Amino acid sequence: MSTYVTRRLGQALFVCLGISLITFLLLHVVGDPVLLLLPQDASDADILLLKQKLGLDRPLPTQYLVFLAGALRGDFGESLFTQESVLALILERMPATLELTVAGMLVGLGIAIPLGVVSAIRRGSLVDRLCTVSAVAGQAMPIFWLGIMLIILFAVTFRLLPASGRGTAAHLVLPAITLGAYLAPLTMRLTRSGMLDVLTQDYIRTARAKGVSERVLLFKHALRNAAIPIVTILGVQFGRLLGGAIVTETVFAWPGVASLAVKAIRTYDYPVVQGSVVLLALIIVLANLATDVAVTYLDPRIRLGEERA
Amino acid sequence: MRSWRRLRFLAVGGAVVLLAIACAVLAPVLSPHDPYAQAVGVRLLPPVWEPGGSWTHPLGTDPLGRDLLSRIIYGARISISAGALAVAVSMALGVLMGLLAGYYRGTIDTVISSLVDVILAFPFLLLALAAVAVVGPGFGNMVIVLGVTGWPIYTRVVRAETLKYRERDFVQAARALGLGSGRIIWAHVLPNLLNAIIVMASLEVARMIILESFLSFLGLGIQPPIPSWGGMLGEGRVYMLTHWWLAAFPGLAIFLTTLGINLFGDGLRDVLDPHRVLTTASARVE
Repeated sequence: MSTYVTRRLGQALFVCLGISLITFLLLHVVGDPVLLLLPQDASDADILLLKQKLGLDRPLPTQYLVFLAGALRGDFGESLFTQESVLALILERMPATLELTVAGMLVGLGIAIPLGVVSAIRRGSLVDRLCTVSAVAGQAMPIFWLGIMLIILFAVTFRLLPASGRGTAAHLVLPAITLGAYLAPLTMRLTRSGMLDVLTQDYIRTARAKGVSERVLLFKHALRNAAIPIVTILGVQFGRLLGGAIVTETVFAWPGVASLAVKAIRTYDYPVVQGSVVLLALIIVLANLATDVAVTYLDPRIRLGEERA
Repeated sequence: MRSWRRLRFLAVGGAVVLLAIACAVLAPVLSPHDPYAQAVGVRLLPPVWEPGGSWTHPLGTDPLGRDLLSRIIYGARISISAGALAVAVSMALGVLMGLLAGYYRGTIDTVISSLVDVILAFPFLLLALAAVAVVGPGFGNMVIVLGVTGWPIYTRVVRAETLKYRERDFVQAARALGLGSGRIIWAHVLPNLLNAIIVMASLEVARMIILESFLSFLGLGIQPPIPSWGGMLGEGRVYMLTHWWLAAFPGLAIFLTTLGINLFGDGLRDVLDPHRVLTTASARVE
């Protein structure tokens, strides 16, 4: 077990290093921060002065190592506009993003897993067909449009819920539904196919032949084994969910890390962009790592197979 | 019964896709008005069924008095071409990388697979947003950014399939006959992957249309006054408290088009690639 976890940790570290390098190269090589920050008619002296001030006159490898060393200490520099520490800015907004992400995940899974299970049990029925059609439609729905439609309906027309911002539980309802609706269709389809796989296994047929009740069969035999693909889905979906959070936070003016990053991208506040992209990607890497480890606990065949390989 | 249902998906999806393409190609013929023509006298007109609406502007007008229906019809040009071109770029890059990694294995495979792992761990949208911010807004830049950031998904699938095919007898025989690696890849491996690639690409067009729309929605994609669905939705958002149709109709156009493409892609998958129940395209991390 420890060999497998160590190996996955090593891979995760490599991915984190790659993420930091690509983000750095994107912001410093593909784009020149100084040229993007200064007006077009800035003189050479102005350009040189700003480069020196921001430490951008040093060779690129040195700049990257300085960035990496800082990042390892949790120092991502300061915002170019507010002069606040980037880490402090991100940490200040992280609870909002986590709150939205967890609420969105709960809504999404709360819809998707029961519907996926029911769809699989009643395969081919009207319920199954309705669920499948809803999932296909849901996957095609742009969530920024869905968010706006929900605002028009529930905040403007019926005046039931606030249209934007964060504060009370009511503020969380529309963003969580939007994010949940983004997560639910694919999760439902994957849960359905995972359950269908399990339900066609020999041991289910044997249990049924032995006279085990459908309820015990479903909850004790099928769902427990279908948990493996569902946990894997949870890990993969967490990354998607953070992607969805970027859109949802923008539509609902939700004060999270994603909206901070989008604002920083618009103003080219590159230390904030660097810090938020790297930290959000790090969360995704950690979520994937935790998923892999959880799955090996649930299914020892994966662990043993990897170790043998 | 099952195959008929699948074919029905393909037919309905195909019809919607054809309709959207027809709108894009025949926009000058189909639009009732010039999509750029401003008329301050008829600004913010509601749709025809609302009080104050008129058949002259069936879906109403925007804050500059431009006809919404005409702008949506012209918007199909931008969205569909951006989606298709971005997919063409990402597919070309991704397939090439996947073939190289899968066929040559070794160091090339390690480097390419590691790069794929790293890029797939990124919040894709954030990466695309940061890239557009760096290279600047506009149609060309947006297509390049979406294409360059979207390739790893093809690489992952093509690499896995190439690994499988490179060990097959017909490839070994071609190698024994002295054919070069390039020729084997081009003439013997790639044709066997085409079905999977076509299915994946068809589903990716929908995802690219949504991404293009979101970038334009944020003001980082297509710039006004060019009519794009995302840009119109972004403009409509400002007025959503009082003039709902400005945001509703462009979004509906995006939804129906991507729904049609997804249905078509799903149907195509069942016809061309029935063994792949869910492509990685739909399961990828965004």
